[in-house]
Amino acid sequence: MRGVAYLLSAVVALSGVAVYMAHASGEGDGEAVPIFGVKIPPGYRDWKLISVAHEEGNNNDLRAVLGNDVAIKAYREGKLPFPDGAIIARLAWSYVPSEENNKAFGRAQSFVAGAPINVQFMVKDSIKFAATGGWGFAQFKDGNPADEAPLRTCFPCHQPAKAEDLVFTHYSP
Amino acid sequence: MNRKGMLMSAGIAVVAVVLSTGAALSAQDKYSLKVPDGLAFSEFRGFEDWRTVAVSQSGDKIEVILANPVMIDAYRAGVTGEGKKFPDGSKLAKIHWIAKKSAEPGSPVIPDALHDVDFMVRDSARFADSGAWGYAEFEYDAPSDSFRPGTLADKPPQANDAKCGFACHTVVANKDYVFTAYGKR
Repeated sequence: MRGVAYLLSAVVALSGVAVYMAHASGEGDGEAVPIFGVKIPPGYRDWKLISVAHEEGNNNDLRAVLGNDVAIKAYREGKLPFPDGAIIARLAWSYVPSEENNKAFGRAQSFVAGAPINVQFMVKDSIKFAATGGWGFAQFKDGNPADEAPLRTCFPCHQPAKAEDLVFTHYSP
Repeated sequence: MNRKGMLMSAGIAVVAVVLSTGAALSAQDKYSLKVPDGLAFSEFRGFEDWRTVAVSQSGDKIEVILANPVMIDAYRAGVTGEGKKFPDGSKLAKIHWIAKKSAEPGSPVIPDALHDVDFMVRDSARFADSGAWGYAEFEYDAPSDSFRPGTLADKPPQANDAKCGFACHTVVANKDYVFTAYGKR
């Protein structure tokens, strides 16, 4: 009995480690952004949902904010600061009216996600990114990394969220 | 089954019970709710962990559409749009939050309190009289942190059956009754 139980826990523990490693590496294919050297993390589109947003004004987009397993665990446990290995992804699509949905509602009120705009990442590594609050910032459009100039604005703009480890988005579901 | 096999199954069963109990204790047991003569919340257990299909905004609500693995695989295989059908077992969850304007940079519209959660599940035999899809809606009450099945007074209206979305969704009958397209990246 005891032998079987140990074997069972070992299998469970090992599969947990494998999942953790696959999600925490944060190293993907393609080019890295300047300054922070972050690449697109593999499988990010499958990460769990943190929240959504609609940004009006210049951006006029619809956003989904997703987190890898490390980030989701920290959010659900309400733990700050985020641990090393946490990655938060922000996906933005254009904000477009939906003719179909409005037909169903009987009035013009529905907006949906249109063409992809860009995707941004925050990668927590308290040693590597010590100079920017422990976070590395990245932005990609169609898989291509952003230039230096916009990336320099990330850390200063996130200062208002300093009490929440520089993360604006709260956990929704 | 030999002794070792039985012990192993018992061990797995214990682990499963412990895991499901832990999840249920974290909030009101919403999974005990059921639309009268309709679908049970428990048919959609674990929807919080499903993957994101897309985001949308309607009136004073902001919402996300999540799908179970069967449906996400179908979306990726191109099942969205004219004449395509999702496989039985596909499940979709739409989470509506009340939208509020954030005070943070850019003043984005973000989720405030949860408003309701709507579900679709595909089963061509079980839901033969509503386009192969069963529908359910559960309204959320923030002060009491609890859900209740939707009624005809809610939006979308929920009768005592599993067809609530059928009438509205016929607008997209040519897309297997599913409005939301997969948000590509």
